[in-house]
Amino acid sequence: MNKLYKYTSAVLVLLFTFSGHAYANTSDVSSDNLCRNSKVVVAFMNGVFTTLPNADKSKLALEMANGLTTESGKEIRYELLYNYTNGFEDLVEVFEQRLAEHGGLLAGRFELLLESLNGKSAWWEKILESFSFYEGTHHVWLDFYKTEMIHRYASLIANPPLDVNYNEHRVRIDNWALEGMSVMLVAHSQGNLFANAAYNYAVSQIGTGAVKVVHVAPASVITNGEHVLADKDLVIKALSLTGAVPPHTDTIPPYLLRPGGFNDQTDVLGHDFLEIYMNEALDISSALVEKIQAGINALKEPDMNQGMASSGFFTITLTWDGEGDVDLHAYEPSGKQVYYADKKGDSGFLDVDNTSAYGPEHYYASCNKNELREGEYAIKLANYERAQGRTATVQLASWDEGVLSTRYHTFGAATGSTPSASIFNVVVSKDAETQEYKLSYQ
Amino acid sequence: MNKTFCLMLAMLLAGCDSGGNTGFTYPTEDSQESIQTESPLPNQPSQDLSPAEKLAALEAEKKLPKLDRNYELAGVDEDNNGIRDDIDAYIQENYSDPKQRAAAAQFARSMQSIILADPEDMDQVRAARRASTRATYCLYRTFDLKIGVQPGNVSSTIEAMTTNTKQRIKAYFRFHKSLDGTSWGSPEGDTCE
Repeated sequence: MNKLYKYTSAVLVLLFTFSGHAYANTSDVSSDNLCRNSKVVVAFMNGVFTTLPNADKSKLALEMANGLTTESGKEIRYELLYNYTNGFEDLVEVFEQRLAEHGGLLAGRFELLLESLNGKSAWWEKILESFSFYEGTHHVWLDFYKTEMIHRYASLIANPPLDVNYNEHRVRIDNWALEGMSVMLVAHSQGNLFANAAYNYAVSQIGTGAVKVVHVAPASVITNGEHVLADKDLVIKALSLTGAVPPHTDTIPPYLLRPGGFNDQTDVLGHDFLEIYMNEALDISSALVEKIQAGINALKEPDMNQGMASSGFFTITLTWDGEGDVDLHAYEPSGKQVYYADKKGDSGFLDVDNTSAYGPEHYYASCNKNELREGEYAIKLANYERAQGRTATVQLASWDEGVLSTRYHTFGAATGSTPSASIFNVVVSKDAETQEYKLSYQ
Repeated sequence: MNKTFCLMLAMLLAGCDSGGNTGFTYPTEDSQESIQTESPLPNQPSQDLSPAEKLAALEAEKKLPKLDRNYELAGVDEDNNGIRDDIDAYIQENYSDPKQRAAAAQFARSMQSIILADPEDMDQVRAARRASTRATYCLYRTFDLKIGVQPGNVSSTIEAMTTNTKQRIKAYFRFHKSLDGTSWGSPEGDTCE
């Protein structure tokens, strides 16, 4: 397959607009630099039952509220570390039962499921206006949903992740460390449990001062930073009956007086990130943004691994799972082979090389228009020695969109300087009309 | 526009066709049986309508969406533009500004690609994820944040319409399971197609 990725030709000057207009970031196309050189990453870790559009909107809401630079002028970029909630399937089965009530009048109308999760909204309101007998059904359904949220959240609390158990997330943190970035974690709901593990790992990589976390709607007493919790967050209230939770920090209006939030909906459970905690009509959102901004502005530069690697138009990060010498080889469009014996290419650089164990190795393609060549970059691996049976993780990322792909390879016998596995063919091209640089890979 | 009310038999899932026919056959999702809808009853006072008739009236008045409930995952896309025809029609009718209409269509196309992605194929999953992210950013770039319909509302509505059958919403959730443990950034610049 061939996936096409477009990039703006340069983004040095970002115009940030939020109030009263559409949101936009625009670029200074006259520059030779294709990338923003971010030194701070704000990483969002989503809560229970978060769909992809809501995860993206959460990241976007943080971006809009906190901006693209720190007080001291450092560039910020935003990323998402996604976790899935088991139990989505159960929601479908139970919702089908609810739809079958009252003679099955609403049977098959699954469009009402997602709409219902944030409380009453347009379609449900019409149904409840016309068929008052559905009030009970709606109530029972939301009760079930709340119970499921609590159950899933409580299960994680009882058995929290002690390490960063997502390989891609761990390699991403490795990459931030390599590039000398400070890290601001913002976690909501069950994302807090993953955030604690990510925080500890990031601290081990870049030091305490370079990592902060803000917990939103945490249910665990274990926190590593400031937290924000609404007094009428019914999910956390319910969890408080089974164990200690942090104290609430802010009050929110009762449900019937609650204004619509980021999705223009209301959350009856008082727990949603977009409708409650990032609802700019509620004071709690100001409190949250203040804490995040204070955290961002207090971040120190990493005191370990600082500046070992550069960000690039695209980067390749290689790690592996034990001892042995594994090598990353990049064949650039000019024909130049970039590897441990010849690290400087025509378009990029192998700026981190490891010869003993685990990695990382890191190649970047230049953000400078005058250096980045159009054409194919073949990314290959070799087991130089002692790595037979080791599994390598190779992550392809772009400067703004983060991870594009993660692939794995298990090595056979050593082949010295000769690569034995092709991992990516990355193609850089430029649109003749728009002058946009594009990235595709196979 | 056909203002005629369509009458639904309880539980089903129907709509008025564009040609103004008074009844049609539609397969049910589970049994694949065909149910014949009855002729509409125009101008009937709402208090005299049965629940099924009132529901059909809400659809006809566009207070509830009239959706393709075909048991096929993809649904009907006659013009092959990557958007289900019922959602396409909704977008055409509700967004008159060409840029907003294009942005809504881009988002709808991305939602459909998620439904149809093979959850075992991570390249497909990542491509669909990325298309969705770019489409979401395009909505916020195109719709005003203070005036008129909110971009968050546009995406929530199209997301719900795309996942309107059991099969489709299950596919949607399977896709999300494949996203577990992945990460991504924020596209900068113009992400509209």
